Amino acid sequence: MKYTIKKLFLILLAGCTQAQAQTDWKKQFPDEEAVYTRLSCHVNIKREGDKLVATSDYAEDLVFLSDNSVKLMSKGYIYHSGFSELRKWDAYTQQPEEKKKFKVANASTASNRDDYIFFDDSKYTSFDYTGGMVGGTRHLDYQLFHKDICLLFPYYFERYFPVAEAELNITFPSDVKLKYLAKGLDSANIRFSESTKKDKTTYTFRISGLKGSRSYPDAPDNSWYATHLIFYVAEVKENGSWKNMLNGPADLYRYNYNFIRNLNRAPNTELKNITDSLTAGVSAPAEKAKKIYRWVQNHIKYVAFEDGLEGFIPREASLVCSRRFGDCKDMASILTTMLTHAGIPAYFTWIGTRDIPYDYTDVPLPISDNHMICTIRLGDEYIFLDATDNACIFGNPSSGIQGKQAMVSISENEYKIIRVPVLAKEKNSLRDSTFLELTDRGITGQLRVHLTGYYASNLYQMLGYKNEEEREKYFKSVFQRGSNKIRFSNWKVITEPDQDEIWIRADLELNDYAKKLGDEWFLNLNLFKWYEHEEIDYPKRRIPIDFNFLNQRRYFTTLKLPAGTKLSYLPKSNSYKNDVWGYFMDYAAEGNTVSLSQGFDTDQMILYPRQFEAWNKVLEHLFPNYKQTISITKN
Amino acid sequence: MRYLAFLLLLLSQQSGFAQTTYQKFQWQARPTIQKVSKEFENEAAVYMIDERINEYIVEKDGLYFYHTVHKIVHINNDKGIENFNKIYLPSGEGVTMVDVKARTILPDGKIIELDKQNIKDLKEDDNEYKIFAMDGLTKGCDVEYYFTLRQEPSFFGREVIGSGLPVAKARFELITPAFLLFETKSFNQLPESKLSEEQEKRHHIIEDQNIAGMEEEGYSMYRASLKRVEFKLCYNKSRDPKNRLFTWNELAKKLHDIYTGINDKEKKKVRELLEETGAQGTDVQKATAIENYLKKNFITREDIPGDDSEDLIKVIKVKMASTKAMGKLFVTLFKEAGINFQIVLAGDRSDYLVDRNFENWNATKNFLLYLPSAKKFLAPTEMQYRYPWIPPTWAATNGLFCVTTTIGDFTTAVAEVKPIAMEDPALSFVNLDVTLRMEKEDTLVLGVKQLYGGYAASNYRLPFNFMPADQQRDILKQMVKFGTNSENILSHSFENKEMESDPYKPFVINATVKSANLVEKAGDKLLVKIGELIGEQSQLYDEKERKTDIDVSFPHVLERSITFTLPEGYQPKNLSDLVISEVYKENDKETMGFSCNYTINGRELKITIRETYNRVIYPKAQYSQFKKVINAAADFNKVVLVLAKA
Repeated sequence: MKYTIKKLFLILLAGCTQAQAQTDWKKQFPDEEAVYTRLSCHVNIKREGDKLVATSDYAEDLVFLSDNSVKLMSKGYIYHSGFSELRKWDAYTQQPEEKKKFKVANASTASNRDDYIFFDDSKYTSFDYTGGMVGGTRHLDYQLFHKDICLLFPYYFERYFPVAEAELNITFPSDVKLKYLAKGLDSANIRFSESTKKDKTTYTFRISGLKGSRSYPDAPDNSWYATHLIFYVAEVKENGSWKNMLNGPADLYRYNYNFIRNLNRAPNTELKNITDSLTAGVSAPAEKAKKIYRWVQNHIKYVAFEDGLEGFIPREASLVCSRRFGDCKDMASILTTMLTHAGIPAYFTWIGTRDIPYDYTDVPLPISDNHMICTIRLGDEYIFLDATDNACIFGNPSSGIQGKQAMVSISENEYKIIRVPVLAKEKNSLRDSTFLELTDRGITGQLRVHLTGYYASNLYQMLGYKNEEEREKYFKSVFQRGSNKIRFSNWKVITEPDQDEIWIRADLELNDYAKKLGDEWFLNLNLFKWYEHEEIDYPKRRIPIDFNFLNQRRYFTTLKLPAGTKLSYLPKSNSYKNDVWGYFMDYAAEGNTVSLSQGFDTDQMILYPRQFEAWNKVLEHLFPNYKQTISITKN
Repeated sequence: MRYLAFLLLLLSQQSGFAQTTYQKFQWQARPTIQKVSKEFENEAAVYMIDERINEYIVEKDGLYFYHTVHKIVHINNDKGIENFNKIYLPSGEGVTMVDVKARTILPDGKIIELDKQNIKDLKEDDNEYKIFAMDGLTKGCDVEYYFTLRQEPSFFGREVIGSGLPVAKARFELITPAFLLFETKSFNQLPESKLSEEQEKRHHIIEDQNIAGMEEEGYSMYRASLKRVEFKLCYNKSRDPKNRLFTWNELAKKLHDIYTGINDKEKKKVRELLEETGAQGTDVQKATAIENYLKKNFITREDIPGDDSEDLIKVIKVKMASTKAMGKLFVTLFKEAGINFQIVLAGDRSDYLVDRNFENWNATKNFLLYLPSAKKFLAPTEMQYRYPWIPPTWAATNGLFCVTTTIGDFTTAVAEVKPIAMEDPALSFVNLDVTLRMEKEDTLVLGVKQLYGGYAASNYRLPFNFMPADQQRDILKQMVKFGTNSENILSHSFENKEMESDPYKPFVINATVKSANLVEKAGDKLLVKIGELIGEQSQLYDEKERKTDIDVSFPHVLERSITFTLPEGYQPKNLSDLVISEVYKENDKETMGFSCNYTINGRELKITIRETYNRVIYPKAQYSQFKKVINAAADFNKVVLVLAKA
């Protein structure tokens, strides 16, 4: 992934010095432990030589309303990087009604790389607020310098604790045209005003009374819902005429193309030889592409160095080949080179993963992408190859880019914006069958699982890193059913060369699951209780839910009755479906077997708050089924 | 304890010893690919060679410590590649990397050497590294690297050899000038070192091979179980060859000096603070008041840089202290309050312990205060523990007690190494009191009382004092759901929630809960999942031979009482399932057990369950018993009461 803007939203920063007394804040926010009394940011866009640059002056004040908040909020953070340099900062605490400032302690700067990145230049400066107490306030201000005007990032108005007042000011000279977009759940409440002084215009965006933002593990990235303002320099006047800066996707393409302009010009024998040996005897372009893609997936490991421009410029394919590692851009580089050599039209492609909600056509800015892939054209069809996912099936996009716009570099002057397809739910299927046999000694049986699409590729990826023992441990945890007393043996995995399907089998014993009383057995065929306790906290929750892919899941349980017994109670089949989702639950008895089939589909990648009520409705119907036990008696 | 090294440095300088240079590591000019033995073929990677060389050198400006690590790793699969294509080497202030090399040896013999330009500096949180990526890795290749660090000497060291991956050949060497006599001690079946002496130098060497990768076992102290060697300086022949250095007594004396060395201005501020704490009464009462006051009002950080970080005047003003300054503040307040106490340093059962005969000062990283009048401890730097509760892994092992003695006007301390006793097992509990009745045919109304006592209370109380309110609500839900299978809490209350509560009273969560998930229907019968009331229990299998002793962290009991008002018109059919007994005794005293029984009185069914772990550590030979006790609880968890129409 290329250089990603760290979300200021994550920063729990704060401060003080407001005229309003603490008791008033407590009255205004009686249930809150702390309140940001003021957040502000002033972006100043200006000329420096022949270049446009910007500074952002941030300020934040937080009042402590509980003992606990003093401890919770005793650490402050500032995030910065080579493209947004930290120029100055100040932070302190003040006790109620006191002028004296308590300086912070322990300031230090460390790397703020994401786990998957090996090295980059994003950093955070952290420090301890001292002398904090209830009613006291903490203050922070700092300035970032943006040396590349195209890399401004949005301002987030929300914090973990409520924000009483927040304000963003953007000042720019008269030879700049600024555009902006308000995003997030409360974007309609942002108030805009404009003022002009001499040859400088200031746009002001204000919002009041924002609730504290809660996080949910199943939520998409906060850019999907947190209230924020995107702004950018769209046009610049040069020599009396307006020129586009980032006024649309074409400008962004021009900006991006500069990073790949000089790449892979020199031929490389090793790469050619590898490509030739992979495609020897293969004539169909799709087959050739598949072989090359698989080779890169298997042989180039993901290691990302994103120091400064390294975050934007792919490395030479020959270097990626000899190192046997690279990041997304490097993998795109080696793929385009090998595929081109094999005679397949292959293109560098920028894309934003699903962490980013924006379309290029709506937000034509570098913040809209964080990833690079290779796109090939086979006949009239475009296929997206993401080698950072080493188990991704040729022909399918990696799951993280589904539904996103791809910016495909056809040539220096030509690009295409193509929407990556979302894989249909039928392609991601999970069929899980349990065959049980009830005997006097307990339950024995078999497990059979068949996975396709992303289910299959995710498992292939997992298995690639596990030895036999680790595999069994993993299977045991993911395929547990009935109770934690289940014992599995004789695991078998049946793989398939294209890795788009996988079968798993095992024998099982499930002791103490069936209850025997005199001549009667009781047993619940719901070996899983999917979605139990997964009601959405509606209407409190305002944040959407993210799913990785559409899918279709079917679970079958078949029970063979002991000789000389019969079924004395069989629950009723039922199903429920509304316009969000649904389920079915079918019981059947035939001869000496009884079975339950149940099914769930995931029909949306993002579940929005407006759908939460309908979602919960399905669960209301579903859960009573889980309490249905069958009983078996002697003939 | 770097300041101590300084003393020694002076000694050696005065003695004017010949300067030497460190033994520069040389790797093989023409390496060949390593061959892995059959037993390690399925591992992701194998340390074919893991070599650690520690050398003390007298240089122009004093004594230095050179630390060399050399590894050859054979890569068996993709996981191995991904584990070793990114290398992190230690770095930091005061540490110079004087040499570093790395190379990939491909199966065809081709060698790719690391370009030093590609080494980057990384600082993460408080740790600093030199990092680089290894080029060209494929399955079956070798990754080889070595580095040498030069730093100020510490006279204590430790090398942990064992890890999750096997080591085909391990080698440890400690090289010292001949006048400095070090001792080593090996742990967990690592062979003891062999000593060879030359004219100028002493070499302690350990060689070991085919060390299996250690897997983490449940109820076990993983780090403590890895093969390791520790070393320390014992004598300086150039000064006094008879006088053992860095003894426990010497440490006790130093601690006494450090913690009591405060000036009058500080003392005055501390006296004012003492007033604010309201400390009065017995030693225990005063100590508790001081502890509660400081832990409520001060923030503790591992380390705070700056010369004045231990200045108590500043600490009191800003209400933030490093762990060391916090210890000093406690000690000073205790002294001013006239409390009879001792400073105690503790190890940790999860890694390294205080050893009476091998005085590795690095094993004393935890700070405690001991009240002899009560024979109990408190942990000044640990927010979640209050007198007499301390982190349980610091106890049930030896501690270094600094006993103050006064000779005339002169006060100092002497060391006693003796056990830090655990509190009575009966005081640490996770108890449960549930009453339940049927509301409708499929819904239960439960009155749940969860009681957490002693060591167990600290962790449960913690979130309800230090987490934001919405997270507290989530945790409460999770805690209630465990056992009721329901998030439908009708009402709830806490008892003794505050950290300052009477330490012998349990933290209690009371909740009235409606649960529709504990009753199933089969025709006209009701199945009540009574076992689920104790929550899901771990189930242990015999899978592999147990390698380490069992450590349950602290002795404790779990007493559960379930009172079920049976619905009218129904009779329970399988009450005998409620009788379970898996109890183990030694000398007639219960060591561990799970037992369950019931009584029935009219429509009231009362089930009592008692699970006990009266010891901290059980030898691995008792693992099969331990497993039976754990699994008995898991069996109870599956008990379903069948109610049939009468």
